[in-house]
Amino acid sequence: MTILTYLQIEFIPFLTLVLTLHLSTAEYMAVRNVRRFRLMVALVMGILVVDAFDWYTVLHPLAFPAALLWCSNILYFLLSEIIAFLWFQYVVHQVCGQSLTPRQQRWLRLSVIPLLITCAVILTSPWNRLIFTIDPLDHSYARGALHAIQTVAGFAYMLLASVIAWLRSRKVTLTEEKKECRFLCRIVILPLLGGLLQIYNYYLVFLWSFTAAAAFLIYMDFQSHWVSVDPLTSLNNRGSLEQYLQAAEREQRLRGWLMMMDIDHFKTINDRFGHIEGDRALRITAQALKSVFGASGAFLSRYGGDEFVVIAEPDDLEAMLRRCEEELARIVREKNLPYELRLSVGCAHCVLEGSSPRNLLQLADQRMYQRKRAAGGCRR
Amino acid sequence: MSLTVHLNISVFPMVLLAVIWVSLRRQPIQTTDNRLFGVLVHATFLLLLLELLSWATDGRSMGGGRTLSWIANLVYFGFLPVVLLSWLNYVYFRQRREFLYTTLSPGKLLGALPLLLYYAALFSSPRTGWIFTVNAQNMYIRGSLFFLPNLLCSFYLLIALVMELRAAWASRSRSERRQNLRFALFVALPILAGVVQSLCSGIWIVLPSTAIAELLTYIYLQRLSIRKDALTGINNRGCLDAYLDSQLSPDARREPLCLFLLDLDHFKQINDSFGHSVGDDALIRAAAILAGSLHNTDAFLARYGGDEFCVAAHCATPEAAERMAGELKRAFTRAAAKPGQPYLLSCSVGYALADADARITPETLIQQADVMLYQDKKVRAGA
Repeated sequence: MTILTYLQIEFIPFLTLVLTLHLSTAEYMAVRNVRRFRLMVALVMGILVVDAFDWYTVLHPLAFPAALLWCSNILYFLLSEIIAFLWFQYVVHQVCGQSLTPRQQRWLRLSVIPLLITCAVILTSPWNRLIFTIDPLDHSYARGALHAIQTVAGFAYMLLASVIAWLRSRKVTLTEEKKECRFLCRIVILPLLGGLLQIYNYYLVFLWSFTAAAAFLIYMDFQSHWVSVDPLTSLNNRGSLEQYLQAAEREQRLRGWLMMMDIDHFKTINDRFGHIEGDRALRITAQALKSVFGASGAFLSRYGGDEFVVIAEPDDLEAMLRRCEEELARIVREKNLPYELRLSVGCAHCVLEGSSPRNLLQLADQRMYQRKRAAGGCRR
Repeated sequence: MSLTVHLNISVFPMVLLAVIWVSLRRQPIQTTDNRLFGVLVHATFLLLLLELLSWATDGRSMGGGRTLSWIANLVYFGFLPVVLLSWLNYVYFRQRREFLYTTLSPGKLLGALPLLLYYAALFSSPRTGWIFTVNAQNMYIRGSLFFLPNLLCSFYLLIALVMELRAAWASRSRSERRQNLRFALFVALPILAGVVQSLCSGIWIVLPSTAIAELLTYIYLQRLSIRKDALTGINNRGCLDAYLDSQLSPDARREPLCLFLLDLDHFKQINDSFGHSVGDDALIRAAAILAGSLHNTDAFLARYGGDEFCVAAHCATPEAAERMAGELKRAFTRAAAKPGQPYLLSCSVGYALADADARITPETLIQQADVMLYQDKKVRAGA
């Protein structure tokens, strides 16, 4: 391969990473973890450059002094270790988030030790020659006795991250969180596949381009998430509710109850206390729904202005709705709100009553209005 | 270039296209636009695969290798126009809301002529060697008309580019023009890559850059939909917040901004007495009325919440703001005057002004508009 073909090979992945880096500055990406992600993307860009340089030195070994070859190879190995470590940190923080206990955080901090050891071995390779050597005469590159250690350490970090994501996916209950964990568990396939192909054939330089693709996929997942989310409450929006219903109907996995909920006298809150306060009431209600239904694998969505649709399979529907009411009352007391938050609910059973998602929604809607009317427009 | 090199170059774009495809399938709403775009992504993926296959058969000395090489190359070149036509079809549908082949016109038939000539040249190649031949070593050799495939690609892409540019020219608002120019840029990318590739030998970037162009288109479409309200098609709440933040941030170059908050009168009654689907319909109509009255202005329209809308315009004085508020209300009156309305739409309006040098947060501005909106509503209810 000439250097020109090599540059061509790396050009498109590099471009994709530039794009990812640029896109991840979007305002909705304002998450703490995104800095870790951006650093990882930048380092993969860096390693693509170092890699291209290394290829050039393989083709023209005597063009540069041996010291430079030592340095560039050391840099390559160091970067690859740090990228794997950042990947691990990113995935763990993304799937565990705030739920890390202090003890777990200590363990997480200890996970840097293998990185430090490998980096030390890599940095001292001019003396110990364990990872690689550069021949002083013809500047040729040769693997050392422990060359495999850096590959193993890198993949160990990535695989461990996947295992943690998988374990976490079995623990969390909210549909979206489960999806996110599964996604981050599977995404390791790309760099793994790239690495294996590259090990299989030295000339298939897939490892970093596949890692670039994985980074891009992570960004796409972020962005796709925002397509389906209501920006105010961060519940699912109406579009994703409709998609969920359609998919569930197609796969015949629609179970439990569909609940249409409407905040009583929401209009009055808006009119008397202003729209900013109205927004707050919506956010509080969404929060309450999350804490009550979130634990049971429910699908929560904001349907319209002050309407929410929940699809859940509770053991005791009435008890669940009571808990929801209590939770709302508790938050209202706790935050000392000048108004009450109550929901009118209409339920329809997905299996027994639903001939189609549209009918289900209509039925739940009608029942909600009946209840509202029966209770003089205020109580469930 | 060897097969390994081609694998190195092609596999990454293929992975990218697969990523788009997976993401497309997980999209909340499956529109025809999405489907057509999906067809384009599939076609490009397949073309990359066929390209690899034609390289895999190149120069192999095996039984029937020559026939295989012929077939692989014919299939590749035969499939090439499918990608371009599906792109053209996608652009055409996005702009005219009909498929390329729904209606036929003399212009379209004329546009199909190069395609027919191309296929004639391609399928006569085994006899004439016009586009390519396969030699005794089973290797691909350029024919005398080897430039025809490139020419055809450029031709159809240029048509798509012209369509995008014309749409940009005819745009009604600044944001729409910017949007259409973006799409034009994405179409221009593979054309540009084609020019570079034909100037420098040994560079092979047309198909990868096609994949990148599709990727950019997809990302941009998705970003647009993040900022759109799914029901009414106007900007959504998230977009409004971002817009106000950018307009009112202390370090932004500032123009005076006036924020109008609108609330549909008696919307709850429409919803309650006719049902949610009629209520949804009312919201869609209200959004259309507002968008229509803001035509040809650089005002920003968004859906704030349930039945509330928000307009941000660069009015400098209270008089101008009052005029505009009246204009918005009159738009509803005009629409209500048309015959055959099952319900009458009207709205209450409140507004608040932010001077160019005032330090004001979006929240405060909304609160101020809110106070006025409530007063307006009380007055209207009294009347």
